[in-house]
Amino acid sequence: MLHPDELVGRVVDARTARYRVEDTMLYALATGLGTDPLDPAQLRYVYEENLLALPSLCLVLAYPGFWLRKPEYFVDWAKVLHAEEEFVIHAPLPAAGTVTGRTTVIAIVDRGADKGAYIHSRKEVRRAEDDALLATVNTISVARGDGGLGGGGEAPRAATFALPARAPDAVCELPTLPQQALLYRLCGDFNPLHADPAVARQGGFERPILHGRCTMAVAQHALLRHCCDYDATRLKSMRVRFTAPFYPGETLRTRLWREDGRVLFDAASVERGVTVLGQGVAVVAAR
Amino acid sequence: MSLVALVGTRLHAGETAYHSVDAMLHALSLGYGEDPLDTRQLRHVYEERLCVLPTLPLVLGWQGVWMPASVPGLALDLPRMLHAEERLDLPRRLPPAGIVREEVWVDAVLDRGAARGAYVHTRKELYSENDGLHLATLRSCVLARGDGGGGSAGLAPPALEPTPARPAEATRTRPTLRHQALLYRLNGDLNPVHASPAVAARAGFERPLLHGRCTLGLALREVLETCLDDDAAEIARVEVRFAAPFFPGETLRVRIWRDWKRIAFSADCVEREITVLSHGRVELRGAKES
Repeated sequence: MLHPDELVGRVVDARTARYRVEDTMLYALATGLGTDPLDPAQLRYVYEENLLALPSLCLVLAYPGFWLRKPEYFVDWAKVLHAEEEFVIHAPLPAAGTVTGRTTVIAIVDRGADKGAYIHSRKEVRRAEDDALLATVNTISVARGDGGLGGGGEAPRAATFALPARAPDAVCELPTLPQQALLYRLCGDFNPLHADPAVARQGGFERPILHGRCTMAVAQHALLRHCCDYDATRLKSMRVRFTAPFYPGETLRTRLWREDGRVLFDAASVERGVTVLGQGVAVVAAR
Repeated sequence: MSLVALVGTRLHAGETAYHSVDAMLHALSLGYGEDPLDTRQLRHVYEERLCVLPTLPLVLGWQGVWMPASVPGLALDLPRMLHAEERLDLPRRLPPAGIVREEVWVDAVLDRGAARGAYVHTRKELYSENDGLHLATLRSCVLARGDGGGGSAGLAPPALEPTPARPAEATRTRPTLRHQALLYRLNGDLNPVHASPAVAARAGFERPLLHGRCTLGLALREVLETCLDDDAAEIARVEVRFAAPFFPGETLRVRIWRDWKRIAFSADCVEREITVLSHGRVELRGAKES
């Protein structure tokens, strides 16, 4: 990896992206909305009349791609895992429009030569016409082969919390399609790990895994259903830690606890009983 | 302006670029990839060695033939239009990405009287933009239920051959997703009758129906896997009649008859025991010579 002093603060991607209502609807369908096509609440996300964009659409808008793979960063990219993801909505995303995305390296946190380094990056999504900030996306990747170089920058790391001891306020089970990852890739993340069985095996997985961001969006569906009355404009932010792979075709069980203005959650694969999303926090506005 | 006056005119000409993403979305909207470890299916939904389905030309380019604003001065009863027949000629295979030039013509109007509507035959020609090669001819027949009584004109294509009376040689069933139509419409045909329960009700349907072309694509998939070892390049011609609406979430039962280079097919809805596709024909390359 490039020395942290050279990497921190660097703008690794800047682009302008136009998206159409079809892209917004495909994103919603690819993350599991619309499976009940007669439910007017879900139809709002998958049919162009009064179309609402899902807040997590900001994750794929002006998506920088797998920038850590670019040779100029000298990262052992095959050993990179997605560790955490957060989005913060500043203004509702329009159902279609043109946005700019700027991705910057915020901080490197060294874990030692044998454990790798956390790379914190941030993407700002702005409306192209007036530069208004629509969303901030904070990503933490772990570069397992790039530890021992020291750190840099200021890592905006939230404290780890424990889930409440009481029973969850809601539990939501959402099935996914076996072809969910194949659909989700069409939203812009074409990493073959999510489609090619041979590439998945090389990466140490028994078969192609679902994109972490897609799993996150399925948990978002649970939040919309149980904490937002399917009104996505109420969901202001969402953060998760990816704790294990989730496979397309599995059922995601999301457990939700409502705590003064926030919702704490985790999510597990029902079939394997493995927690795949931890440290889940969402901010939901009152009606 | 009347329907008859449109006969012989070119409704539209234009160019459309398409990418591998469009070809993959088309296949996914037909249910390919539901076994994501099946390498045969992956060929249609993963960009590596991508293999384009023969139904892709149906969704490329202008989908606006019967959209309200597409023909100035022509006020048709759009919600009462039904897709009746489709004939697809494929002189050559489409590459996974490219630019197509298209021309859409009105070939004929067959009046059935004011009470029964009129059949409108259109033809779309697709050419490769860079070398001008002819890629496909699509002949679509729409029944305009609310626009009969204006007279007939033009020459309609020959009548479709009926479904064979003898028992089928193969029968395959395939479930569909409840949101299949929502996915399929992202191919470009955004007619709200396939998404909005209210619009579907106004058109006389209990709920949004699946696109006829999607049902055709599902049936063709069974033909490809049953008779052709999934080799789509062998298909030179496809014809079908949309006999009744099919709803997303229902199960399709496809019947197949093979006769050397010609394959007949039909399809019915298992739940309602009604024929939804009839007069289905697939002609393979070399059928004319044999």
